[in-house]
Amino acid sequence: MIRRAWAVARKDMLIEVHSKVALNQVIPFALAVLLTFGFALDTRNQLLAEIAPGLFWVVVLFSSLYLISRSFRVERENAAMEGLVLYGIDPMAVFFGKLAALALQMFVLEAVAAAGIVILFNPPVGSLGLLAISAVAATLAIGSIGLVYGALSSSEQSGESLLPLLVIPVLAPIVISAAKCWSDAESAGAGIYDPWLKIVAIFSAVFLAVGAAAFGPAMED
Amino acid sequence: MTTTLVRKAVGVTSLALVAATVVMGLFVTPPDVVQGNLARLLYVHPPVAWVAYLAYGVTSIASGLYLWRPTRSLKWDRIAVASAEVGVVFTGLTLVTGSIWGRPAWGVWWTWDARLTTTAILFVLYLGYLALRRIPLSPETRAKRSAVAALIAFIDVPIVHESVVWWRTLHQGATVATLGANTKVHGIMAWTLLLGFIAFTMVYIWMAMVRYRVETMSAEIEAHQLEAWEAERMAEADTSDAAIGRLLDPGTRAPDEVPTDQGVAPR
Repeated sequence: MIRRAWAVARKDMLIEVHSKVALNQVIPFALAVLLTFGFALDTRNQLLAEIAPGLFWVVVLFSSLYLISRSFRVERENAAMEGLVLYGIDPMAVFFGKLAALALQMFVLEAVAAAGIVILFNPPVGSLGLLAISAVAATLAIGSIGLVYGALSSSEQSGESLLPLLVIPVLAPIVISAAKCWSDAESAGAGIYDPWLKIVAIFSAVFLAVGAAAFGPAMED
Repeated sequence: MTTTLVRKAVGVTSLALVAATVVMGLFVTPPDVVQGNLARLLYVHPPVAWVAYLAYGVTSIASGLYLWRPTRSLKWDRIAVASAEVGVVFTGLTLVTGSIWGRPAWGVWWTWDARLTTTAILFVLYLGYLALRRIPLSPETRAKRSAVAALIAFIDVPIVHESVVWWRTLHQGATVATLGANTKVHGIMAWTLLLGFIAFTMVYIWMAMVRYRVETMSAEIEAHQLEAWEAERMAEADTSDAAIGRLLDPGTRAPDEVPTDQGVAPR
């Protein structure tokens, strides 16, 4: 199963390397949104620094939706997903493979968005470790739920515009707890024993399990 | 026939019970000591909220029964959608009646209280479920996909609730949620509240029954349409077969068809 998951992940990464959609479209989009926040809130630095934690996760969540849509568009073209099903590949392997490729792209996106926020809005950063670990946990949760709903809403018509409506309310707990982690990480004394990190980790474990269990029925019709 | 009768009986009963709740709530019960007439919303708001939860519970059970192979039947899918639609309506009503009460009682239409926030997310969550059902797919595919979505929503609701409770308590402490909860409800007011619960539960059952019937009928219409299209295609195929037959065998030409080569004198 691990070999097959790796093959799926490798395939998705190769598609990204060749098409560079994440690099050329999604990451610049995230930066454009950050700049827009600067304009819309009239470069009030104090305010922008204060809302940086929430801002980061809103930008990451919305940008990730494009990556998730993209992840299923490539499967729909030439009915590639049906091919995988007919091949008899374990849906679990497809799920973890796609999750790995998606998470890798999201990590790059998050690194760029975080750097953008720190440079543009100048919030204090106390604990990089807390930031990094909470980001990894939240990314896995967003990826898992995103992939399941990506499969559920996958169709020739109207599927892609539906994805945000389906994913955003489900992921509300992740946005809350991950943004809280960032808030706590701003103080100098923060560390990886933060209570919100535990919460985000538990939620991520639940969403990962739900995603892995639901992806099979969602994928094969 | 019997189902129609039952449905009508449930409809009439729920209407009568709602009317009784209105009379009891507005005219018979006294105004509350602390809140005055505002407390009359008590007879509507909690029952409406209860129905929303009941409806989503039914949707989750029906979705689970659809996904479980031994009980897989489109009947469960219809129950799930019927219940979810009524649930969304009642969640909307919960938010609206809550807001109407909150404005005079708390001074704001909305506050980021744990219960309010959870209800708002619940509303959007099931709007998404209903939107997912609108994607044109085969009935079986749609049933399976929406059942998965309904079960994820079911698992998600307690998580959302916990996260929001922690979010608010770690932040500022629940200030508003306990305000009304400690007030005791006595005598006639308690009976009216109970009546409200029964009345709105009956309304739910009736609305879900009607909605289930609509779902069944639209499935039947779809099936009929498919049959009609099939018949049309067959008829079309027959006429074109006949036309080809006539071309191949000039002896069976229809009388109104004038062959183009006639009337031209051979040279």
